[in-house]
Amino acid sequence: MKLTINGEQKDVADSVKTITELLSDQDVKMPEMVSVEHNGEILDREAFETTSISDGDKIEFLYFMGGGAIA
Amino acid sequence: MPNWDFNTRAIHAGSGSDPVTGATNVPIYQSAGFAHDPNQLEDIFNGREYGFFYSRSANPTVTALETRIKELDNGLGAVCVSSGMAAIHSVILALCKSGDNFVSSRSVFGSTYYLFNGLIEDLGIEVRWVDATDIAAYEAAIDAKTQFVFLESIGNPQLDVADLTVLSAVTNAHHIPLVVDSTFTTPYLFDAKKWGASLVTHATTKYLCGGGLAIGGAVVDTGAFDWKTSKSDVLKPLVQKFGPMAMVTKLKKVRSTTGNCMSAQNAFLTMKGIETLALRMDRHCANAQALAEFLADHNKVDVANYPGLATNPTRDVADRQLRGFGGMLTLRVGSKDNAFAFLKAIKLVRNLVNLGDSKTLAVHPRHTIYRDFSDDEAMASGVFDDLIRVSVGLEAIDDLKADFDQALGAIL
Repeated sequence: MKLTINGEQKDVADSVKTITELLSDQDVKMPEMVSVEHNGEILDREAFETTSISDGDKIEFLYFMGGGAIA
Repeated sequence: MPNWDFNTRAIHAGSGSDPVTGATNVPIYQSAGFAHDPNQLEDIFNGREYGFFYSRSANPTVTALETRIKELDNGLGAVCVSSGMAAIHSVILALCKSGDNFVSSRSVFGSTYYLFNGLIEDLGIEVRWVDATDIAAYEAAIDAKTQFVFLESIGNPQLDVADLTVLSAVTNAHHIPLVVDSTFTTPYLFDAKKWGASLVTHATTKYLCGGGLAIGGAVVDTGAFDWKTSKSDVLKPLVQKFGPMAMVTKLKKVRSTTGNCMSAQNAFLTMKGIETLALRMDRHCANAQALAEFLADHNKVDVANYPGLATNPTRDVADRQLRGFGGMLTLRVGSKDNAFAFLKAIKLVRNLVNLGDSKTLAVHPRHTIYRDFSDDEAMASGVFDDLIRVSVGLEAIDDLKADFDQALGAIL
């Protein structure tokens, strides 16, 4: 299926069914530190295992490594 | 992380073997800056990639410690800072702006009192003081501008323990986080998440690091509080962007912007200390119970206090809420002169301000830590003129009893 991940079009195997599996498939480093936005909605961490992904979905992985404006 | 027991996580969380060298301890990344190619540096700054750029903002050794502490508290995330006071300060800055208020137990460490009553009040953030165990008073003090409630897991130096089941029901009903300082207990003795704490502050300086080695602090988000419901104006913008990670992110922004970062060296020492945390806490608790009982019976001691003594008014709450009564006890010896006579006579025990060291430490709080308290403030906080506070160490209990006995003998 085709997903947009952090603004980039990517081909991802159909066998990748959930956000948790996607984190692993995409080799996302330090998954316990990443925020996930799925089709515009920020997910609770418990939802990673239960949120299914489908063709055309938009996913943003966001870290915060420090710095920047306070808000 | 596999479903490992606390003791296993204390040793393994946050550090595997180095992929390049195979080293089994996390390196001390003694580096102020980290170089990347320009695209990667931009991605790291913008949160699209995991990486480091500047140690004030994040450092790999400190991050490893954060993972370990987070795992110990079963939390969502931890942020390590320069000291326990920095941890408390960071929580205030993460939630409050001028015009806000928070509610605090009166039974807190002297420096915490000075921070709240001095620097924080001067910024226009009001602090509302209540007696530690008076749950109705906490509730009465909460209004629309209250951002959190703060107390210590075991009060310093009154050694009182508040009922968190009842208190967390109050904070939950008002949709404000419950902040518990667990310096006296650590995650080993106090399961913060289970008892409803939203945030935990630690002075890692004390029992977590041990050995009187390294000043440091940490804030842990237990994940118990839904930041979407927070009343905090300063936190709201981050909730939209980071969801559940909003508070951890905010604490990192506060750290980065104010610069209250932990050093890589101190993070390394603290990681090593945590590996023996369980062993040390067991010994601290056993020694403290034995010493407290010995002192309670001693003819030169007016009052001995320890959370595990039947005479402590909150013993039952402590027994339910904690896995052990900790390593801190106090004794009253009748007068300041008597207290000083004792402190001059100790040979094995050291007279200094700190706690959680392997060495047993004693201090006269009234004229050191709490010297700027008025007499009324001191009485309200249980800091009596004849009070000695003891951090019971890891020495052989018979050696400790012998030193206390001979030093108490110096009291006329």
